[in-house]
Amino acid sequence: MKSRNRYVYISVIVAISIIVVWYVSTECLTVSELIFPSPKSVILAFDEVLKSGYKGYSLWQHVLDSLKRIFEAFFLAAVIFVTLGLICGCNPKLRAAMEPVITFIRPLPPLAYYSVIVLWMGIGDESKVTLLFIAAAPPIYVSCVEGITKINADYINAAKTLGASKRQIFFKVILWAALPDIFIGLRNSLAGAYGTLVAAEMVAAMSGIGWMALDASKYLRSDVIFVAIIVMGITGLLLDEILKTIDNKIIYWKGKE
Amino acid sequence: MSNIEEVYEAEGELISVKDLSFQYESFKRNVSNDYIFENLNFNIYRGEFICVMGESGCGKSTLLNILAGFEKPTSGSILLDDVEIKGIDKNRGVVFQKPSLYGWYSVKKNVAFGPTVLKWPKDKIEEQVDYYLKRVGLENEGDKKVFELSGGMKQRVAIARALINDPEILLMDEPFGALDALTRESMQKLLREIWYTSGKTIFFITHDVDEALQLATRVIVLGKNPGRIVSDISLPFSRTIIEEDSNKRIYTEEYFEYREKMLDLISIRNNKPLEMSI
Ligand SMILES: Nc1ncnc2c1ncn2[C@@H]1O[C@H](COP(=O)(O)OP(=O)(O)OP(=O)(O)O)[C@@H](O)[C@H]1O
Ligand SMILES: [Mg+2]
Repeated sequence: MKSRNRYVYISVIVAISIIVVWYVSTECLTVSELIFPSPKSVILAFDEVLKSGYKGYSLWQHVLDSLKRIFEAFFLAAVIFVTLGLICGCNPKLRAAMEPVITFIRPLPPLAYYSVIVLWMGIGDESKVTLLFIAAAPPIYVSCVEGITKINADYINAAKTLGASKRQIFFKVILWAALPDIFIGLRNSLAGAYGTLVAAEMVAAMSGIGWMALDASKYLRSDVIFVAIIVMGITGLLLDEILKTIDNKIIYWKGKE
Repeated sequence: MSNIEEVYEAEGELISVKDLSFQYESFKRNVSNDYIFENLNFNIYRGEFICVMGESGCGKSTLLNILAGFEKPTSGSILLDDVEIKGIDKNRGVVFQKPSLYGWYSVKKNVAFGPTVLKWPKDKIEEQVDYYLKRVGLENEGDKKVFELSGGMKQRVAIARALINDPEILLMDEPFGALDALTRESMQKLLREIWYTSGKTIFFITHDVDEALQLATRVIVLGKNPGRIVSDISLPFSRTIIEEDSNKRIYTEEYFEYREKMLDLISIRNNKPLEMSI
């Protein structure tokens, strides 16, 4: 924690240098604005999108629509797969049953099955949320199972020698001991869903920050694409920071034993 | 071998190990030498402070785990008050080498774990937690988080957590092995006092001859291949230290004689005769 704060200036310097290099290279080299927009044109585009929105929706509306889809999918995945992961973590037979499904889905690129989902669910928001859901689920499940299966046997034995029932062991020991891993799973899940956002908004969307980037490319508006990318990047960063902060608050004992 | 009857103030057997044989399941495919114990017999008497010694890998932890119920005997039985032990229960408290406290609970809640799951009334829990925290000298640390404690303090909490349920016997697997010399000594003193004043039976594994000499009323030395009792010695020093109220170590001639004997016994090899008498 401390060393991270101490060297934060390095991160800041690198971030600023990237922007400077970007600025200088677009100024000195004669690259077409279409291919590589300068910081200035990106700022102008940002200003334009902020003021008049993009294709009928304000920038915030686009971001909000995307976040809504992500959170819907993330929430569903969290509720269902934390439960499932915890149950399967405690039960090797169920775990074996889930294994092929999860290991098959996990590495699949979302675009591979997106067309099938659209075929089944239509082009509305449901198919988008479903796609994000499928991307969000495996990390949660995998982390929950891992969190439970790697619990120090002494923790459970100690509880048993103190007279705890199975139920009490689950709620007072196993669940807590697995909590750090559950949180890692949730963070990875949100990152996974976020990474699938653009793919999810490819088909028949009218709004969303991912869609904005795709749509802008149709009109060769690289500056708008850059705006969308930067907004996406910062939003993603903030989301992860929020989860990380909650994580540190709730799991104050993490890594301190 | 010293006679069981000689054992200091034996008060009737608490645990009796009968024809215990044990092998780890993963070893069952092997042809020979896979038994950690074969036909082990011994009793544990009420109020004893037993230290178990023996070279690494001879099965000390395995024996403790069987007594605790973490492992099942392959054959033979273990009786506690003439009732066969089946699995883990709250009659046998365990203090692990690593404290294994629950980091998500405060010190108080860790100590209160047993009473809480056993659904004691709230005020009784509180009173007993305070009592046992005081007993281990942590009356001011109750609200701390586990990670704020030192290694010795953690082990004190672990002892309080195990004691509060008032188990018949306290099983301890090298509980002070990871502590520095000074902390170790104060922990030994604490444990000796708790043992003496509470009359608890303690089964204590250690590598340290001096620790055994200064704590135990009886030392069991285990040998290897198969695990067996090489020697069973009763010792006077623990009581002397308490009753003479001197926490100074008693490095008498007698002490060093015992020390030499024990060091010899521990390093016994397989080919030496089983009945090594002392
Ligand atoms: N879970 C296990 N599965 C299989 N074999 C085991 C297992 N645990 C221990 N053993 C084996 O059983 C034997 C006795 O081990 P044990 O841990 O009881 O020894 P110990 O006397 O406690 O040693 P130490 O002094 O090093 O703690 C060793 O040979 C060890 O390799
Ligand atoms: Mg051991």
